[in-house]
Amino acid sequence: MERIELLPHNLVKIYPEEFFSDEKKPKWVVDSLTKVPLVIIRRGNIIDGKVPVGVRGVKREQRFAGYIFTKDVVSESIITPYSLIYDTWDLLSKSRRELPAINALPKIVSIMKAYKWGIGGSVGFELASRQATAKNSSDLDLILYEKNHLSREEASLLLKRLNQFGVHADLQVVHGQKGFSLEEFVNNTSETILVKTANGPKLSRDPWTEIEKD
Amino acid sequence: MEKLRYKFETKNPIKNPVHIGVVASGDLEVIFRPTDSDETVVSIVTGSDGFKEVWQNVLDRFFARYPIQANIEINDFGSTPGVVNLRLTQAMEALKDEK
Repeated sequence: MERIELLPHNLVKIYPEEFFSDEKKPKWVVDSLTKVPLVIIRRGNIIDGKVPVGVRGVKREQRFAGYIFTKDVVSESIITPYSLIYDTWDLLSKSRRELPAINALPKIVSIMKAYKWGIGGSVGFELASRQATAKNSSDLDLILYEKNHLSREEASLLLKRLNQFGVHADLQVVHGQKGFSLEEFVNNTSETILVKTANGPKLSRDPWTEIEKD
Repeated sequence: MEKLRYKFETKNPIKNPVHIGVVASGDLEVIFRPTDSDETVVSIVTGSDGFKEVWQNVLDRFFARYPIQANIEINDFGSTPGVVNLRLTQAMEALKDEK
């Protein structure tokens, strides 16, 4: 098992009983996992073979944190946001494809073709599970796998192009465990940017370089 | 969704509005506006219910350190206390930059 695949935003197909938590599982968590046995890797270190993951429910605020063991994960069971960009929406019903966040995808693909990117959030979860998860008001959470540093002008132009389809598209720039919001980089009114890391968030004056550090 | 409201006795009025953070899951936006009142009111809209005391603790610590007088609006999308602290720190940085 390549550890590199156990990164935030990746989804893992599991057997429901492999998910455990320090807290008692609410009923909706058990029900969700029975219906869709798919968890999202959370940002954080793997300690004693425990991978931090989250369960998503039907309601937007339904999130529940827990773990799975690395030994239970095989690479075939990992679905990356990157693997969802190839017309996976064709598998959804017509009414689901009409949701603003899903409807925008074919146009987003052509805008993003110069980048390595992926689809996260509720839309990514729906594409991976084919279970209705996105809402009419859902944002489109996109992942940009960082290779080149973008200038503020390039980043601003890219966000403008992504945000012309009646849905708020948010692009998170990631490198390994670390990530920051491209929108914050563009609109920032303070001198620092919030960078999320496995050990918690931190402020950085140069997020592009910060996320490349080990 | 939950709406929370807190009041603090403060003494340092701010002169300019500040807007920090992003509307994205796991994050929040913080808006500081100048106020005519002699106290600080913090209005929070959060997607995560049941964290009233956690917010109280985070805000108590913040205002003990920075007793700024302002009208404060926070829109939270399931952020952690660590993220909240850094966003408030950034808002303070932005206030200093304007002086």
